[in-house]
Amino acid sequence: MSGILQVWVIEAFTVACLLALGLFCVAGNRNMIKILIGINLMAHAVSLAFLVAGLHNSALATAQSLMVAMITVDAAVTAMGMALIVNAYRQFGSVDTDKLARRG
Amino acid sequence: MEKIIALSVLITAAAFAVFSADLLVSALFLALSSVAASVVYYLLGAVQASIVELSVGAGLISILFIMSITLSGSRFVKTQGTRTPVRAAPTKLAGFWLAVTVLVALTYSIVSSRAFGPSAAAITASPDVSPVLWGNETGYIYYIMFVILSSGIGLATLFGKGGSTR
Repeated sequence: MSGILQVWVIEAFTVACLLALGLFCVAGNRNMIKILIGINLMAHAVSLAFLVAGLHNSALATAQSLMVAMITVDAAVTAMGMALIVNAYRQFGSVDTDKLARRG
Repeated sequence: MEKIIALSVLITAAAFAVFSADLLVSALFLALSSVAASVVYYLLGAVQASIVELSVGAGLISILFIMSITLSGSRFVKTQGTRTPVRAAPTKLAGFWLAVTVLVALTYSIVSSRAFGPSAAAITASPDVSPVLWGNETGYIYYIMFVILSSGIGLATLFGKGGSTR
């Protein structure tokens, strides 16, 4: 093991934990709001990975600008997802993906 | 030390956000994980990203989640057709754990007789993001405008009628 993982062990562990938790939340839930929470957690993990990579390569400004863009995109994704969820609830009366698939 | 505390708060809040059966509690723990993430960014020297994460991640996104949970009216994650009751024990445990963490952090701050976070010199030496973010890429502003516009359309759809209401 060399490079970034050797220097930033705790941060890399946190990134891995957050990615695993987000993936588990997305894959193991049928509630759409819970799935969106999992997507947000994975976005946190990727932001932290960007920051650690920027620190490791002495490119903090670039990493920060990418992080700002990513946080903005994440907020937009959340807003669109919320709009889809609320409209799906109004249309079908449920936010369960299985029930929506059965109706579709 | 501060970094390890903030990272452990981040992981714990994320775990509670994933495993909580109450969606409102889940959204609040997601906001807490955003706060912990912004503290981590600040401690690692990314001051501007920390501010954006705190305002957008902990502010806007948590309000969106709470609004959406209220509008959809489904607060609890249903498992096999039955409503899962709110379990008070994990929430109490999380509160106790957070109180212990804050106490340890304050004790460490008093014992080591210095304030939390990077020094003032480190913050002053923090690189300026604006030339990278705005100066080098002229098309970038249109991209951000597109993202914010799509977010606005999403919010307008969220507030609008959006088809037949039940």
